[in-house]
Parts: sequence; C-alpha cells; structure tokens
Amino acid sequence: MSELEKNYNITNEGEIYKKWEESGFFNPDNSQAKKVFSVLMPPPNVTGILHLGHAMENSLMDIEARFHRMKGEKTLFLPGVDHAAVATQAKVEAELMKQGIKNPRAELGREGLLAKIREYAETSKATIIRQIKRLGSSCDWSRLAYTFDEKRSAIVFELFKKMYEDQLIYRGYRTVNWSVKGQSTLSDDELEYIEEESTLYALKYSADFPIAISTTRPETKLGDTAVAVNPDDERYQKYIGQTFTVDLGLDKPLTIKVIGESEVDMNFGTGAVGVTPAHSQTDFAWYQKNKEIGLIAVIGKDGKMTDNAGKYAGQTVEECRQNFVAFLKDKNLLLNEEKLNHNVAISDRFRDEIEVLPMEQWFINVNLPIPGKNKSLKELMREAVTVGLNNNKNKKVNIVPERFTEAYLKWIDNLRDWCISRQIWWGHRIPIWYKGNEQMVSEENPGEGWEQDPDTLDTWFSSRLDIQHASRRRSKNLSSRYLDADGL
Amino acid sequence: MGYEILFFWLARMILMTAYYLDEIPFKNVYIHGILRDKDGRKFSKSLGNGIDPIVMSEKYGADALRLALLANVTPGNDACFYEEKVEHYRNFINKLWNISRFILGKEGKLKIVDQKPQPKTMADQWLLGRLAETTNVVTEALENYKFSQAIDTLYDFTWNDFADWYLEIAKVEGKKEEILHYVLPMVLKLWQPFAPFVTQTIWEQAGAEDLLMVSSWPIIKDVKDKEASEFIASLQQVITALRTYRADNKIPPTEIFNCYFKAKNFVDEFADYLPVIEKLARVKLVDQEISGGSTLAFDGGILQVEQQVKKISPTEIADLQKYIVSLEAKLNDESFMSKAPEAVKEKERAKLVAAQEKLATLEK
Repeated sequence: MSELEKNYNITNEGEIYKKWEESGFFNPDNSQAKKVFSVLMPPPNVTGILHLGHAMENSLMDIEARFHRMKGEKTLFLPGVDHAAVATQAKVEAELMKQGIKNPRAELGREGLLAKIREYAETSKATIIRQIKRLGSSCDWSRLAYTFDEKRSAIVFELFKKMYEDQLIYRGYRTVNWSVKGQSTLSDDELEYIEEESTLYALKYSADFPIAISTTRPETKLGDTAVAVNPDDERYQKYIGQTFTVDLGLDKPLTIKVIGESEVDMNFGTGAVGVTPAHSQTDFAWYQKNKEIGLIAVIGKDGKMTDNAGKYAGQTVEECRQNFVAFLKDKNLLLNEEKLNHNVAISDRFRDEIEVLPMEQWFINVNLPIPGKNKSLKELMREAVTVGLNNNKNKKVNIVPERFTEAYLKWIDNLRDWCISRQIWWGHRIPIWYKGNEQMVSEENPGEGWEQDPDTLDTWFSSRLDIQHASRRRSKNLSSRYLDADGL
Repeated sequence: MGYEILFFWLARMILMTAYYLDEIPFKNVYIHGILRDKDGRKFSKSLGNGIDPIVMSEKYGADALRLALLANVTPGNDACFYEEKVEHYRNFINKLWNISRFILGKEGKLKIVDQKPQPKTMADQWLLGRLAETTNVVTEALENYKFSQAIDTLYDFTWNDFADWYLEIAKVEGKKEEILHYVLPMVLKLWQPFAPFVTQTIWEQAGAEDLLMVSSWPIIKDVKDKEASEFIASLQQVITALRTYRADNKIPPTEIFNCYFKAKNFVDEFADYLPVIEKLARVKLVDQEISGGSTLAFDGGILQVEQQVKKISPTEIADLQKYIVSLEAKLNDESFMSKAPEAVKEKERAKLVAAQEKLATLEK
C-alpha cells in the first residue's frame, strides 16, 4: 500500500458508479433484510436534459436511499421516466418548425410525426438516465419504469377499462381548456398564469337593459345567455329570475336571464357579470345549475369567431373585440374602461393564450360514487391524507411539511371533472373503438369496420400507476412491501 | 417533490392507487421548495440564469454539487443556488480528502478499529463524545428529512472539531492511531449518503475491499462527556482569545510571543494541555510576570494573559514592498508566464496576494 493520491480526482466518478451498479446492491432483491424502504422518483420528462430541480430532487432521494440501505433496510430507489405527452410533442413540433416544416402534423402525418417524436424521446431518455447516474443516484435500473413502455401501456388500458366500466370515464359535452396553437385540450395542470395588463369594460347590452356588466373579454358577450348578480346585492335583487331580450346587432337577438350566484363579487366592477356558459369554466358550472339559459359558442377551435357571432364570424378574437367595442361606443352602451392587471392562462407548452371552449371529450367524473365503494374519487383523495384510506390509519399519506395538507385539500375541493382526452398524437391512444353507432373499449382492433378514437390520453393519466405497477410486476408478494414507500 | 407539482402528481397518484389497488401510493411525501438564483429569481431560459448541473459535476465533482444543492434546503421552502456554493463544497471535499490522507499517512492503509477505543486524554474523550452526538443528530435529521441540518452538523464536526481542533491537538499529544482509525471510518460512513464518490474512493484507496455504500450506518450510544466538553470548550476559548489577540495586534503568524497566566488555578487546570496551548496559539508560557506587556481578559475564570508586542520596524515594511515588486515583475515576465506550469503560476499569484494583504495590515 502507498500513500493516498495527492488530490481527489473527480474523473474516476464514472468508474465508481459502474462498480456500485455491477455489485447488484442497488437492487433490493439482493438484500436479506426484512424492513423495507423505498423511494419513488417522480419521473422526469423526456423533453431534453436534467435541470437543477431534478438534480436537487435526485440528490435528496438518493441521500435517503443510501442512508436507509446502510441502516440495513431492503432499499429500493425506483427510477422512472415520463413520456410527457404534450410537453414532448410540443417540443419536437417546435424543433421541426424551426427546421422549416411549417405544419408538422399535416406534412408528416400521424406515423411520420410519431417516428420523429419517438426518436427524440429515446435520445432524451438515454441522456437523462446517463445524467441521473452521473450524480450518483443509487437507483435499481432493472426496474426502470418508462410511462410509454409495454408494461405501462398494459396497465393504462386495464385502468381505463375499469374506470370506463364503472362509468367514471364518460364522454361529455363540457367546457375545456383549448390551445389554438397546439390544437388540443389541456388540463388545468398544463396551464401557466401570467399577469397582463388589460382593460376592464363596463357595458350594457342595450339601452333599456337595467344592469351594467363588467368584462375583460367583451367579444365573448356575444355568447351571453344570462347575467349573474349576488343574491344579497340590493341593487339587483329585484331582477333575479327576469328574462330580457337584447339586440347586439347579431343575426338573432340574445335572451338574457338574471340569475343569483353567491360567488359574484358585489364590489368588483359593476357587481354583475355576463354569463357565457360556452367560454368560461365558472359560467359553465352556473349553466349546469340553470340549464334553461342555454349555451352559445361564439369562438371556434381555430380561435376565430363562429357563425353564431353573426357579422363578426371569421374574425380573430382581437379583431372582434375591437369591432364590438366600437359598436358599443357607437350605441352609447360602453359606460367605462379602466386598466387592470389580471392573470391570463397560457399553455405551459404551446405558450399561447388558452380559450375555454365547449366540446365533446372524455372526462373522469370525480364526484360520482364509485360502484362498490360508495365514495367518489374526490372523497378517496381527501380520505387518504386525513383519516387514512378506508378509515385505516396505516393507510394515511403524511405530507412533510404538514402545512401543505390544507392546500391539497382545498385543491381537491375545487377539482372539476378531469378532461383526459388530448388531440395530440404522442401518448397512449384512447382504447375506444367505434363502428356506426356502436362503441366498445378494447386494447386491440376488435375487427373489421371498427375505428379507434383518434385522441390520446392526458399524460397524467398514464404516469400514475406505472410506478406501483413497476413494484408489483416482480412478484405479487413483494407488492405490498414496496408500497410501504416514501415519495419524495 | 417540488410544491409546484404537488397537486398534479400527488393527487392523481393517490386517486389512481386508491381507486385501482385500494392502496395508498406512499406513506410519506416530502415536499421541497424550488431553487432560486443569488438574487432570489427562478432559474429560467428567458432570464438566461440557468446552471447546468452536469457541467457543475464535471467541474467540481458530483459530491460537491449534491452538497451545494441541499445545503440550506428545508422542507417546503425555497433555497438559493449559485456556482460559488459548489466551489465551497468542492473545497470541503478536498478537506475531507486531506484529513484522510493525513490520517492514513505514508502507508495509506486504514486499520479499521471496530470497537470504541478507550480514551486516553480529555481531547480523546471529547472527540468521541462529539462523534456520538453528531452521529445521533445526523441520524435523526435524516429520519425527518432535515437535509440542511444533517449537512451542517456533519460539516461542522468534520472541519471544525475533528480537523481544526482534534487533529492539531493530536499532533502534540501523539499516539492517536487507534482513535483516528476508529473515527475516520465513522466519518466516511456518515458522509457516504451525501458524498458517495469521494468517500468510496478514500475507502477503496485505503485498502477496503467491500463497498462503503453497504457498510453499516454508525450507531453510537450517547457517550457525550460533560466534563470533557466543558474542558475542551475552555481550552478553545483560551487559544481562540490568544489567536484573536495576535490578529488584532498584527503579530505575524510566525512570531512566538511570551505569555503569562496570572490566575493561579490556571496552570493546574490546564496542566496537561500547556504544550497544546503553546503549539496551537504559538506562544511561549513563562512563569514570571512580563513587565510592559498588555493585559488580556476573558471570561471563564482564566483571567489574564500578558505578552510583549514586538514593534513593527520600518525596514520590515520596506522589505515587504521590495518583495511585492519582485513578485509582480515575475508575473509580468512573458517568458516565465509562457513556460511555467499553471500550478507554479498559481502559487506565485497566491504569494503576491498574501504579501499584499500582509502589507495592508502592517500599514494600518
């Protein structure tokens, strides 16, 4: 033996990692210990390279894994990678556009574009795994869960089928978030909010309409079917329940009913808001309680005004806004304009402003009692962090730090039915097949004449269970043991 | 997970497993904040303030990056991250390496002592107590996801207690092989989860054949010794006061000055440690009052120190100035600069900085 080298040489770190990996100790199956510790890596997206946040997260998970392994526990640090449907497709399409392919979907077709995305995803996946290794994470790579591999696809199908049969998944006509640029629905989770200066307009539908309303989107007023006021608002109480007919210069006059909604802020603007069921999630919820008011879509998937907008049809929302405000001014119906900073929702991946549109899509019903459970999904999500699943204390999820539990519960309260169908192509295809008026759920083509739903599933739908599945697939007996895990 | 994705991932993970498997997906969810730059801004493409973790790990090593990423991270709160932080922990990794290199000595082999050795001196007793305390704090912190506390505690023990104090005392006391070969493996084990690469490298180069990652985590019954820790605290106080005095009076580090402790009980209390005080504070303890010296008081019952301050001679300043000029000339010499290896140039630059600093102090 001789003296330690003069300086620590970081260039040997790759060699050391290899030694660890080859030793087999990253795999808990090689440990005889009884006590189990496992930690699940929230799978990074295959959209490029590891960022600082990933590096931090991986470091802290690895510290826990190494600590528990040294304490003699059967330790699993379970790695995963997410195919990240919208994020990945948006990224590849943007790259292709930079290379001069103006409309990748039209020019390459479904298979052609998917091939490009697959190629990119595979490269990213390899890069990300190499980078995770570079930081020393002691993951069991034999259990790597890629949300788009065969095993994960099989479980996505099983889950979809069960939810479909339990009627938790349904086809419905509801308002969704729509990215014009991405030509797809997006879930609330795929939005980002940016503060923008806009104008708050106070206007009246007609000279003899008794209530003025406030809005930042006057063009959507062409699709209004009601006015909502606070039932406690003495100014407007007397009008609740009355219906008015107003002429905004469209092909048909609008019928506006005054409804009482306690959510309306009496002190904001005029204290009354026009209800546009087709283009606002809140208004849609009010519409569901007051179906008689009806729903008129005035904006289309292309971000332009529809035929319902009469003379404005074909105009972009901005053009229509300008023209309609001019019309209101001309008719003396515009009462006030003031500047206001407010949050605008944009697509976190396609980066365009979101339009709320009513559409036929696939949804998960979060309020329906689950057959055999007599509880809704919302109740399950609430129960798991409060009293424990099925009132079992041992099945309670602890959130560290605790203060986040409250925020989580509030989020659950506000959760709407979750739109799971996307019009992008990178993802698990919806396993629903159609033939004439028939419809069935199937993993494979059920036979001649059947056509599959063209949409794909929200990536969040598929990135949930795969991890549980990864633990289960080894051996049925191990499943419950590895479920005894920490998520970091 | 980061709180910004808390609800996406957590809620749906619970939804799916609860519905499909009648299970919860995990028992504990640790929520971390996000990293921000020096100015508290988020890292983003548009701000151009991004730092590539892989570039950092290639430059400073993965261990330094891991430590820099997690130092100051507490559950649910944001933390700052910047390159100097990685550099700072790279210096620590080097320190850990140098400590090990010193302990392993010429032979470079670790003779692991498994059983807690019998302490022979107060310093031994103190160190073993601090090791036990540190081990317990780190263990508890990791059980509760307190990463920052774990790192800070271990860092402080390793650099401050072990390297700066104990190893220096050990050089005076001598015959520390057993203790050092007991404590070093413990330190390496405690660091392994945080800095797996450097600890494994030391372990391996020191002759161990098994992997450190599957060695057992230290469990030490609390042996914190009140008497020893109070004693060492007093000793540190004396030495620190003398060092501060030296710095305040601009006494050059090489200068050994005389010291006289007025308090009678002092010499009895520190009887065994007088050579340690002399060596670590670079003083000579004399047994007679020094006329013309100044008085230094500090608490803890050890009241006074007197010493003679050497006046700085004008020639000393002049010599230093000449030295600086010569160093500057060398660093401006093109033939030297083009031929000399980077390490040599680095050394010369360091000399210049040190000389300039010293001059500034003298001239104050």
